[in-house]
Amino acid sequence: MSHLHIPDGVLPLPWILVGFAVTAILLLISVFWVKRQDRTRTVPRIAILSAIMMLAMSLPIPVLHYHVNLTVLVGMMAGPAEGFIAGFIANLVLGLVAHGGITVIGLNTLITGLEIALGWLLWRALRARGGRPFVKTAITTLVVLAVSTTAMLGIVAGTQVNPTLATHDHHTHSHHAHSSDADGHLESMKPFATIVYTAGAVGWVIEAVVTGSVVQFISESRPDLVGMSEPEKSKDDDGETRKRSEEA
Amino acid sequence: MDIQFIDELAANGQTPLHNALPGAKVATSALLLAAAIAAPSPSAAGFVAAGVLLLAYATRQPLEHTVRIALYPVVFAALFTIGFVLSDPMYALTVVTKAFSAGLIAATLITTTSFIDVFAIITRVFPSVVADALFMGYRAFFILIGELQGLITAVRLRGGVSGTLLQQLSAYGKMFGVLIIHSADMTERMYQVMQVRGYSQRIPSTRRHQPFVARDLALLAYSALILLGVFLYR
Repeated sequence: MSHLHIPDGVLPLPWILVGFAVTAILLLISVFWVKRQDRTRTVPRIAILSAIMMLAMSLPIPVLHYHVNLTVLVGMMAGPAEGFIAGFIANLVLGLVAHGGITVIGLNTLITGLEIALGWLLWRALRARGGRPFVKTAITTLVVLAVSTTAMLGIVAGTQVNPTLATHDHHTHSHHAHSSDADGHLESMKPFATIVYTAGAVGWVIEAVVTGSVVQFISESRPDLVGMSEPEKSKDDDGETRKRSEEA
Repeated sequence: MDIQFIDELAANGQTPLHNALPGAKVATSALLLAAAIAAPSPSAAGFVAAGVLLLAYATRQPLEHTVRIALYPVVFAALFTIGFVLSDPMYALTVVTKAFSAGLIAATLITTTSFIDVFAIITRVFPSVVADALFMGYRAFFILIGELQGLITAVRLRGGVSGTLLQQLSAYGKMFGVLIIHSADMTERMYQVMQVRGYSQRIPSTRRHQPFVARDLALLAYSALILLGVFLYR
């Protein structure tokens, strides 16, 4: 539960529509950005990245029953534009199997997109610095998931200022009743926030260790996949090869 | 969430709903989903849930499968409403019931309609890049899950997942690392195949148009009645 999928029925309709509208705009910007590249190469890459996210989100880790998302990894590998499209596809497929709601695919995509974009930004800042890729990735993942969880809580808190409006007649509430409902709602949010931050924190650590191990492994054999330069040994090998070919 | 199992149910199931047109099933699901979201009280949400359960039962798809899928969003909805159990239990009950209905609608649709048929309908409004990546991603998912399961078995047989929790998580991460490196090669192969076969910037996904028959119209009428019932209640 390092990343909480919002289910159907929790959020009111206007916010669902706002989520879809903002996602549609960001999706169009991402598609516009991606179309400037070779689509024959881009489309399979987005497809594979979305498949990896679907795979990570649909398979619980044995014993722990947590699932990882690998959104930060996708951000590191693909950047925000391709990553956002891949995130949308993963959320769409998972929404169809009731893993996250169908009506909240927009909002869930925005949270996933936030993780991808932040992961990309932080990794860009950290990747050239010294230290093990595992540590740098783990730090990136922890920060990103803490921010995205807070954003998700913000959405739920902000969109349900008055939950009783969802179950009672609008006209029977006075202004005073509305403000007391809002206070009551914020009070009611506390247990949820406590659960999310405590259980979520365990999930962040798991996600950080798994993502860190993935990047550590990749950086040793295919560093180009996460935007890192080739290891020194490879550079030397290339230099040797070039020297030999020049001599020949 | 066993997407493989769901795909198997959708592709090889023999229920009456499998024979209905995908367009009718998607429209029915949309109407029922609208009813579930619009339900303003526990009784209205219960009315929708009963309607959806009745439909799921009538399809003769084993309810244990679809209800199990629908319970997943219920757990999340329960988490979201945990703070309201004492202060506003009716609200909490409404939200949880809505989540169950929505989950059951999705489960009934996706266990009786293949993903490809659903994608073919919904991707009409998507840009071609997204639509093509969706089809290819879904295909790639099954290739990668087969590879990951093989990898997990091989590592387990060699004792690779023993040790402390940290070591186990690290081993799990490395397995994903192997998979990602393989998937990079897979991307390259896909690119080469698309180059050789030619890529016309859109993978065709539409099927021959078929008119709705009585069964499809009955589905639509049923879901429209439930939606109407919710609005009349409001």
